[in-house]
Amino acid sequence: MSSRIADATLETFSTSWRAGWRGQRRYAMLTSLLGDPGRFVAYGTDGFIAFRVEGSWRADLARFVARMAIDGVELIPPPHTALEFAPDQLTFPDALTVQRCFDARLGRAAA
Amino acid sequence: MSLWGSPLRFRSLQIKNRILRASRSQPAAVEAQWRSLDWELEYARAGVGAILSARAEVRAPASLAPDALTIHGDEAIARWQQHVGRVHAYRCRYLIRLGLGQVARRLDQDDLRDIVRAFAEAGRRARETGADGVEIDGAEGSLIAQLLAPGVANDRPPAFQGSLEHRARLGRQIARGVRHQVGSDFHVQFRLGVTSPLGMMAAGVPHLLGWLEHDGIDAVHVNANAVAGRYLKETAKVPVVRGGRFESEAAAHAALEDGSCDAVALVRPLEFPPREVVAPWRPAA
Repeated sequence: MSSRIADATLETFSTSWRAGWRGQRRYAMLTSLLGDPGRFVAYGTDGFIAFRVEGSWRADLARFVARMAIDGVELIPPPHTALEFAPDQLTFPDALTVQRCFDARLGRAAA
Repeated sequence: MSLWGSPLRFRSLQIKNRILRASRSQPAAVEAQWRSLDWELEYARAGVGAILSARAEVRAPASLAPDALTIHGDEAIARWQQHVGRVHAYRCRYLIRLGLGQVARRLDQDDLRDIVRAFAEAGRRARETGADGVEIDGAEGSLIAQLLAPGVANDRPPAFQGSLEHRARLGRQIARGVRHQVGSDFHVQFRLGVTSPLGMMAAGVPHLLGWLEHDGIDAVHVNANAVAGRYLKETAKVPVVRGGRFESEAAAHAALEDGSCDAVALVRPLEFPPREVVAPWRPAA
């Protein structure tokens, strides 16, 4: 299993969904699914595994946040580095930006 | 391309066109409500570049309606996060307006210190929601505007009354407090009430704007007529968003083309359900 979110399969959030954490430093970020105002995509990693999971803002957000709290995950607020939406962008922030945020956190934690 | 549909770049934020949807100003006694946010999605779908929320109270008032729009506690973050996420889905930006209504009692130093802290904390929460920036509400009906006015004797500490420098102190402290909390890469703009050139000069708005720019704001939003708007545009170092009484979409076009602003904040010509404005969002085929 890759630790890069770009390699992760897009899953659908449900009450039985679990992240399969292996490391102790766990980070996740909520993003918008561009084009679908009803759905979010959450990215997460612990440096060993990475996930992408899609859910409904209305029905799943509270349960997803609760799941992350149970798992001891730090939910990172989105960065404000992207000046514009790229035409081919799937989520906001995009996966590369999210990965950079995770890398910075994991790098700092490891240092 | 006309200015109307061209992107606008602020210091740390870009919006896809020059049209913002500003929420209706609420009378001081009426709190904005969470359910009103659902309407904003229609404007995002219609293609506006950014949405300015209704005033979100940064402190809990003595009595709070169950559905009142607030950002005074961390429990509000998830609710905002959901809304901001839905607006972003339309590639539309979202700014949360931070404010407090006017008060009818004397404010002492401790009150004012708490107010500055409440604004700064609200700014931090706004950033955590994923919003693209904040707007500090210093327009009519706001506490900041109340303190900008000369007021009555002894309704505030001496350091906040008298000269313009004193009366602007609260707004400036709030701008600096918010900037400190949100960091340098987050958009912060300030909303000021300006009705006429004479009123603007009398209220010292050009001076105040200069101070606020020094304090770190990225844009100013003024409810100004064309003459006042043009004067401010020539004076300001930051982009000017002009809101207020556009009687038609043509009037808003004219405001952009006559050089009195960099963007327009509309309410009236985009009444619900809003018309498509530039390049509306379309679902994938």
